Amino acid sequence: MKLLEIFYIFSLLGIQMIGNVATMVPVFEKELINKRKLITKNELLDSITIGRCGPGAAIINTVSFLGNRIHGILGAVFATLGFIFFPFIIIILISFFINGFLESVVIKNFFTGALSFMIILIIKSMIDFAKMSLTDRNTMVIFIITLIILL
Amino acid sequence: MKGYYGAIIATISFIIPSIIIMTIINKILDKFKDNQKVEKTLKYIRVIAFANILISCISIIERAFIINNNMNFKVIVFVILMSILLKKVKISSIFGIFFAGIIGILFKFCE
Repeated sequence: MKLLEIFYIFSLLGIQMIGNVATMVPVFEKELINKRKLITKNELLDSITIGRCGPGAAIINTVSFLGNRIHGILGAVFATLGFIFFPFIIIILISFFINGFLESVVIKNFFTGALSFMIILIIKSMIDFAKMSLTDRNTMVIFIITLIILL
Repeated sequence: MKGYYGAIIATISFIIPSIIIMTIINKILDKFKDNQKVEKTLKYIRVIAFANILISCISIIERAFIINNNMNFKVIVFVILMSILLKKVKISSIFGIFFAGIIGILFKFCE
């Protein structure tokens, strides 16, 4: 696995970053697990767990953890840089005409449409993860207790 | 310090701590890979992480389906039609996102 390839894969993932870590789960699953077979499902869940616990932005932590798993510390550097590459350029472009960008109805419509597509993917991967992590009675009990606390 | 250089330096220094900390955690996890206790702990932490993700998913679904305290029927119909379509045709997620965004502009999802 070449480092530039990691950069390329993660830069493609970076364009699809809409919402937060939760919306990225189906995209990671599709691209890294099903298509390229770089990581396992358990590793993905671990990376999200640890990414949320660690200091800093959760998604950046998750991506650098995944990069680490794939190709050591250099993998982490290239994965993270790749992941922020397109969002960075897009934000620089937006900063030229920031006035009125976020209020624009067209942009709002675009993101609502994109989000509704993500919802389909999210529901699919949530069912997948439920099957995988809720395996016995103990895990079910912990799951329900956590839901009650969080809600 | 202003301008593009500022943007680049700020972004890179934001990600450096993440990379360092995650590398250290990864090394530690690798060391305890075969440890039964660590494996069991991780198994239960995964459940909690899943519950966490599930709740933020629900809030995202809420945000898309409800607009100005009303149900957004356009989005609901689109989601149902799209999920039927996705079972028949396979499309890449990048294409799907932009396609859905353009549909959103055409049908004015926010009104």
